Amino acid sequence: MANSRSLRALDWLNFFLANVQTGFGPFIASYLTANKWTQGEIGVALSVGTATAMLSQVPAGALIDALRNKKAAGAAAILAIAACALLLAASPTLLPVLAAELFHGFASCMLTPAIAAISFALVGRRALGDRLGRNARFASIGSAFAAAAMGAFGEYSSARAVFWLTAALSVPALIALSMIEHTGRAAANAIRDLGTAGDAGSPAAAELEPEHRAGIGSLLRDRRVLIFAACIALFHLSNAAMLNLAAGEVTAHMSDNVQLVIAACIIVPQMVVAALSPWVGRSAERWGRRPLLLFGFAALPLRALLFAGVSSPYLLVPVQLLDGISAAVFGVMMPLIAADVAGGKGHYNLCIGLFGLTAGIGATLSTLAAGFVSDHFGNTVSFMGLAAAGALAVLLVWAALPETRDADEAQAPRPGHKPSTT
Amino acid sequence: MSGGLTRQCVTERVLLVLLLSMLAGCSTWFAPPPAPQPEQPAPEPSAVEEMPPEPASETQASAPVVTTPPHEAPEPRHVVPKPAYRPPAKPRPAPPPVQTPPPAPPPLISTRALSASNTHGLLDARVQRPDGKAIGRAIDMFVDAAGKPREMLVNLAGFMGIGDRKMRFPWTDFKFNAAQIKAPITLSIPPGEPPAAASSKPTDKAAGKTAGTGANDAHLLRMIDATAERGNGERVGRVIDVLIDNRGEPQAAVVDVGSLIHERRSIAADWSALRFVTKDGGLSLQTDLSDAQVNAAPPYVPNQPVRAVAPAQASPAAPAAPPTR
Repeated sequence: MANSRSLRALDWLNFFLANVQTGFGPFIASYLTANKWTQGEIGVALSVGTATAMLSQVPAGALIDALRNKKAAGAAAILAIAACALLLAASPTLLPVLAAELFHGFASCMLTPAIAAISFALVGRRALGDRLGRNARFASIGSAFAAAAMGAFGEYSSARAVFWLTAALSVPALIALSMIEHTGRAAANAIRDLGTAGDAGSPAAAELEPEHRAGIGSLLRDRRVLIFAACIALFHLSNAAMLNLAAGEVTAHMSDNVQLVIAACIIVPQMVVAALSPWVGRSAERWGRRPLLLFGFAALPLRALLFAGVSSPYLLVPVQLLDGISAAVFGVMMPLIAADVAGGKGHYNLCIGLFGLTAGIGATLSTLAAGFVSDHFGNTVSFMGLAAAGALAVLLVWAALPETRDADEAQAPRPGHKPSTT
Repeated sequence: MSGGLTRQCVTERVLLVLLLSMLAGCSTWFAPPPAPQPEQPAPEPSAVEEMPPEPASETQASAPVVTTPPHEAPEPRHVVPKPAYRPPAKPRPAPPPVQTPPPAPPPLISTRALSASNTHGLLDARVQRPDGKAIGRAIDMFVDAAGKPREMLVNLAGFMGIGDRKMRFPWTDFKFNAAQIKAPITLSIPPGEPPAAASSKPTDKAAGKTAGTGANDAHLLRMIDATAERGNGERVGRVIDVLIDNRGEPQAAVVDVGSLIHERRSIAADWSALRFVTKDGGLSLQTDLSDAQVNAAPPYVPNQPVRAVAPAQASPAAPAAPPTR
């Protein structure tokens, strides 16, 4: 059946995309350092990348919403990222690196919503939790593989080789993408339901949902969106700097096996995510989002406290199991809740972009604040601060975030609410 | 028929070549990490002699039979504003510099060749432990008001960029050997000790973690990315590297004198041409190189012989002493 083939192709797409994305990120700083960039220049390049990534989250989401052909959008994004990798590998000088950072910032913002939209189109609203769990599983297996392979590559060949490998891995990603067919049940339904035009802005959709044509305004007035966005910001405020801070301790205070321990700290949570994500997706449909969110978010302050208290660097590795738990929950819940609150309104990807933006803000603040605090007051205080942010996120979920599943379940049978993302 | 035969041969040969190149590629990728270079180039000047011979050196080679310690001796040379590019002369034991009479047009700058086996760029130089294990890369240095290096900022490498930690170490704990291209800097830490034990700040204070904090102690100057100005506040350029000799003495600062984006041009400003002055409560970098002198300076090209530039008058006196000023 074509559908199952598409689903398998989607698995592989997630796997290879994680590969492609791994080379960007913290590794770029090392790469540029290795190419005689001064700290000031690296700072500029990375700020450009971060700023682009944040600024383009919402526009990229809106763009994916507006585009009929999500596959083409995804393919364009993959090609752009591959081009960035080639650019970085070919010429680590100022202009190419800035260009690569810009394009990568925008393309990666398109990629997340594009994959979510393709998943949505393939499986429909009901099975989305399962599907997102599976996506997360393959993505994390992919990034674990990529970290191992690229680490070995960087060690035995050169830092540059990592980017050649990144570009090369976009080829299987594109092949996987091309094997996905837009013949899923949801897509067919949506086309039948909505007539010729499948998109939210189209007359058919507008007829069914006149009150939602206001666009991003309606999204921003939704209390659930705002509260969950705040939860995401706090989550990343707590999460983003934590591993790097702990791993920095390892680098500074260990004489041997530094690389090994840090690699384990990266790969262990990916394995947990791979194991846990499908369960998270299923349970989210069965029990609702709130209990799982509480469960996943609670792992965060616990991990920060353990990092603050642990003495041996080797003990960081088991503590990273908690990272896997929160990452699995977050990775599945973010697109799922976006589908809950905006999936029926044709703003699914815009909503994901919005959440991505708040995540980016939280992560940036986290790195800045944690760096500052650990410079001035030491790492223990810094971990305590991160734990506090995490605890606040848990509290916010517990106290303020309404369950998003029920509302959606009630609406689901109505055809007008079928995914208009297709 | 023979045509077909040769074609077959050709394809076979192509396959063979492909196979061989693949094997070669494999060996470059999967070869064990380079050992910490057992062979130490002999410290005698003969190691340097392998560079392509040049007529200029021949004439000078006869003179220095005097055995002064085999470190680089400054070699003042006067250059007219538009210098034809010359391969650098080699450093060699020489008696204290004899003042050569300047050529007819008054010299604008004086240059001094820095040998590749005795100097290397600080930025990105790999730092290793005494047992040869690489721990990271040098990314910056701190100098005091006398121009003496005090501390080095090293980026201790984590894995794939995660866990990188910048840490300052006292300059005196390092040994420099430019001949070891893989790891020219050695940090003396006892085996088994973590890098933090040797840090200049034994607390968790990783200096300049957020890259923008700058020198947090007012009496030290972060060299790399420092702006070099003239006495009147005119901008000359931005320091992008420092050339260090094997005794740990900075010899020259590589200054990017190009404009922002196009024409990236850098020169090696002799350490003696730099001054460190207290300004606005912090230390700042000044140089006397004028625009004309900067334009006359030979460009600094990485991995090529380096000539350090100083204003014409300052040079002959200064470099004899360790570059304290």
